[in-house]
Amino acid sequence: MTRYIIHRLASAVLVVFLVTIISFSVMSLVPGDPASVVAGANATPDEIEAIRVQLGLHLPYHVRLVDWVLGLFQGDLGRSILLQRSVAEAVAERLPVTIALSIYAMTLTLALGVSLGVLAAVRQNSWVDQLCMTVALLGVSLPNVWLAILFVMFFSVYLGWFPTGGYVPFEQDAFRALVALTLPAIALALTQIGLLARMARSSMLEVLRQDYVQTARAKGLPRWSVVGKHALKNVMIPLVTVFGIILSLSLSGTVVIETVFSLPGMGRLIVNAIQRRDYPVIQGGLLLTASALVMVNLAVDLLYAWLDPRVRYAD
Amino acid sequence: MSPPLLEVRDLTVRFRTELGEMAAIDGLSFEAARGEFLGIVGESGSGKSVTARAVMGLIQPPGRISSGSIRFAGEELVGRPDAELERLRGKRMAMIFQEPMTSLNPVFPVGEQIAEAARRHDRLSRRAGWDRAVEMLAKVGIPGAAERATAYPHQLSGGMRQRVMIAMALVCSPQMLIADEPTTALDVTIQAQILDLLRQLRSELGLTVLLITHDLGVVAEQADRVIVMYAGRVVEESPTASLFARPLHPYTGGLLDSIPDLEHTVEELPAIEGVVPSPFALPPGCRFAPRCRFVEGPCNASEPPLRPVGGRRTACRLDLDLTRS
Repeated sequence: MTRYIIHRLASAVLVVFLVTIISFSVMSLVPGDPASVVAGANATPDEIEAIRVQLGLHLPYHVRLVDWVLGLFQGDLGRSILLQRSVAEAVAERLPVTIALSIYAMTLTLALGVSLGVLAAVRQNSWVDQLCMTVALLGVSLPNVWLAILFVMFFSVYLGWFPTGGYVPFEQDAFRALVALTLPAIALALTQIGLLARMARSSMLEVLRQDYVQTARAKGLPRWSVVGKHALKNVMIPLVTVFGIILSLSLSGTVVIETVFSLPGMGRLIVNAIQRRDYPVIQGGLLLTASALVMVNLAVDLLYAWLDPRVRYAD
Repeated sequence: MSPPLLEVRDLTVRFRTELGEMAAIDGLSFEAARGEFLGIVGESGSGKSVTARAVMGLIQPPGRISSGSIRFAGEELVGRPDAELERLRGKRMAMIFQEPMTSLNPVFPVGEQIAEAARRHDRLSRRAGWDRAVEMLAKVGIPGAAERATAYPHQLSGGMRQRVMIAMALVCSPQMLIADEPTTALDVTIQAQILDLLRQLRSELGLTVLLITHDLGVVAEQADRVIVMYAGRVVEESPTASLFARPLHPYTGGLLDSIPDLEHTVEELPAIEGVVPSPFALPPGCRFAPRCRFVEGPCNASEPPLRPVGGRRTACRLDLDLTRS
């Protein structure tokens, strides 16, 4: 197990390093000159050149790359061109919002996705099954932007249960923070809930046919223990595998959701930066997002090994 | 004479299929005395596994027990709610299955899978349950039991896994063990070891054993009495020795003829011609008639009842002499 973890950690470090290089390079390679965007439409070539020097863009690619990587080791992500502040500061302000939203949405996805799927499988072909799968299908097929807007109209504007948008920091008021994030989290999670529920159902149906489920029943275990312990742990193995993928889906979903609910998160930060060629912010944002995904996938791999002893001892 | 531990009367189990409902076992009756080793023999499709599942209360939709009675230690099991059967399963009657590879849960240590039943039925603590599991593993002949208890099924050989299954089944000291083809998936040498273990545990614990198999050789060594099933019905019931010496039913005779004999080499093993009839197209008379060498007109007219013949029972209306040399 220790060897497995070390192996996984080493490859995670390598991936993060590659992501660093790639995120830096991609922004240097795409067309569009940040200096001319910053200088404005009416700037003279001299003015643009002056800004270019000011931003350090006149230096060759490899010099800038080394500078950036050295900066990273000191925790310096660079300075935003447009926000007049360091990227680290801008990100530190935005990151908690996206993390809170993602964790909330993921918790909903796991809890509701798995329960809907398991419930449907256990009551296969009954109206419960039909209902669960209809909800799952709607979740998968309806675009979450549309759902988000619908939610705001119904729950916020009509019923007034939730705010229409905005963010309350957790340290200020944890309860109101949760309330404010509820609609965005549900809108963000619905697609994933649908996906996971359908997978959980088919996986559970498969597992329930296995011989060891019959053995568990022959032992005299009650139904909840057969399904909730013996079957569920086996069902979770394929689900955990897709969980990493589902999470990256969810992360791209935050961009839209943050916009609809006017949440000051990472997604909006990066999108705005891309529109205005604020490349230090884009690089920093990409690096953090990618690192987060690598970490989550690492956690998923470890969880997978914990669930399935056949993986644990196979190295 | 004390009443039998297990008493099955006119049991019919039906399955709903795309072709309609069919009876996997049809009007089955037999009993097993306390401490008896009963063999149930038949081809695949004869209903022997369904019988085992029915007794354990493990028949699930699309199957159902449509009529009949199963009495265990005097208590009627048919129609009892599942919650009550759960208290019986694993505690007073237990079962082991054909495939030790797939019958153990791959994601739990074997010790936990054994301890679980003890915790549930005997209200043992986690610690005591684990100790009991280790004790059971040692009892079924697993060396280094304390260490093996922490192993996962994929780390054990097929024979070891079947020993684990037996330990699991016997952890709460049940009165009856149903073994459904326990050795079919194992190597011949391991088969013999497992069968010896079953015999040894049976006399040690005073178990009633129902051994379900298609292999008459296995039954010959182990069972006190044998029930031969064909197309969902009992065709012959007899003490083992007399069954082998002088079968009463032509089907039993055919089965015995198809056992390879090491002393006399033959060109080709005699097989019973034809196949088991489909449950959707049963012959009007004796179910074995279409494959029977001795068939006569009346055999096809009506289904012959199971009739007593000198302490044995046969479903053949003819008095054949099938004595074997």
